[in-house]
Amino acid sequence: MNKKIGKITLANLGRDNPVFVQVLGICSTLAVTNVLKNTLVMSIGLVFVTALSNVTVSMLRKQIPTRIRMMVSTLIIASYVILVDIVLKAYMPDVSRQLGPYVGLIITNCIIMGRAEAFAMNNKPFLSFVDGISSGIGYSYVLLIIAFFRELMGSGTIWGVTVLGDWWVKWSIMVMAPGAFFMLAVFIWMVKGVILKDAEVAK
Amino acid sequence: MEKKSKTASRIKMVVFMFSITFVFVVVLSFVHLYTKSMITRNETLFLKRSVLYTAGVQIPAGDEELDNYFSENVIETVENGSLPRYRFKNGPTVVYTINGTGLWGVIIAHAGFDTQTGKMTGIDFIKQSETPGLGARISEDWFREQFRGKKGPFTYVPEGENDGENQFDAITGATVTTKAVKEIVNKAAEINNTTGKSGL
Repeated sequence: MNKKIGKITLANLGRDNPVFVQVLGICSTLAVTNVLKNTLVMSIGLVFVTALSNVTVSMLRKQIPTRIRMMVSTLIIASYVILVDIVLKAYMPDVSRQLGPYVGLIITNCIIMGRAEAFAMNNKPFLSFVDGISSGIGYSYVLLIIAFFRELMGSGTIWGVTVLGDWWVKWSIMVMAPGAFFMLAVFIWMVKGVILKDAEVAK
Repeated sequence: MEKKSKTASRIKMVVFMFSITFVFVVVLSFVHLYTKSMITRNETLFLKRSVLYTAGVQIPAGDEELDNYFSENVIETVENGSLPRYRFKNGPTVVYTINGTGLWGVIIAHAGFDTQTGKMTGIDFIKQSETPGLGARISEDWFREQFRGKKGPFTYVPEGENDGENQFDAITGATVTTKAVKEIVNKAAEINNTTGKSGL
């Protein structure tokens, strides 16, 4: 059991990472990574929704008729996202206002649907929970790295604090969505070229 | 026999989908009802803080104090069809709610004026969906603060170059948003000139 947990976690963080290996969740990667703060809240939201929807889908997996399983997953995911939205509005109005439409964007994140389909449908609730958390973290750390560089180069700040002085010419493109494409491409290139080189060759 | 089981499984699917939807909707409805008053309250507090910020008044720290201060000093009026206006009882300040069109959607702002001198007391954006890191910087302090004590009609100049009481710093890379802000402040100044002194 413990071995399995470790294996799932490692795979989701590295070899099967949802962002740089499976290339899922790109929509939100482009949208939220220009400021670190938004990225972090988005990541927390995603970890939460992925874990809980995985558990729910896994618990119901024997009852869900195969033909409508995607409808059911979508319903479950949407419900959790609405829940996150309501809770943020009620208890953290400032964060909610900052994030605006991004919370709703969690629904469109293919990672959640992908994990529900590929993992939770065939595994026990606890393992699905672990899978959801580790997929979420696998997504989060990649986004945070991208956001760090985008915010630094695009606005000269980190977490809203100015670190690069007036001498730095801000790269406006880094703040806009195309900047994320460049950053993500560079990231994937480095990871695949350096760290996952052996795996690529073995293929 | 085969046919019958097919029908049965179809019915089962519909029943399953119906019941699971029902369960989730009921749960969400309860959460919604439970948090509804909190959300409305947060919204009201946010608006009140914004009005005081715009008027250049020190914002009371606690929620209760804020409510008290507001009900003692501010009169809110909504003329038919127009957006709310806030007039301060002990002073010449009026805060107008103005909307404009930004790059991605509507921008709603609170714009405060001293009706005696025609100078702005401040501005705050209560709703905007501009590009984060570019247009959304209108919500940052440096941008909002620059309007205090200025007088319309406004024009914008490149970032960091404003001097004079009818200029403001534009945001580099967010021309559409800057133009929208210009329209908003000019519209507010116009309204203030025509109706500000005469009362509400």
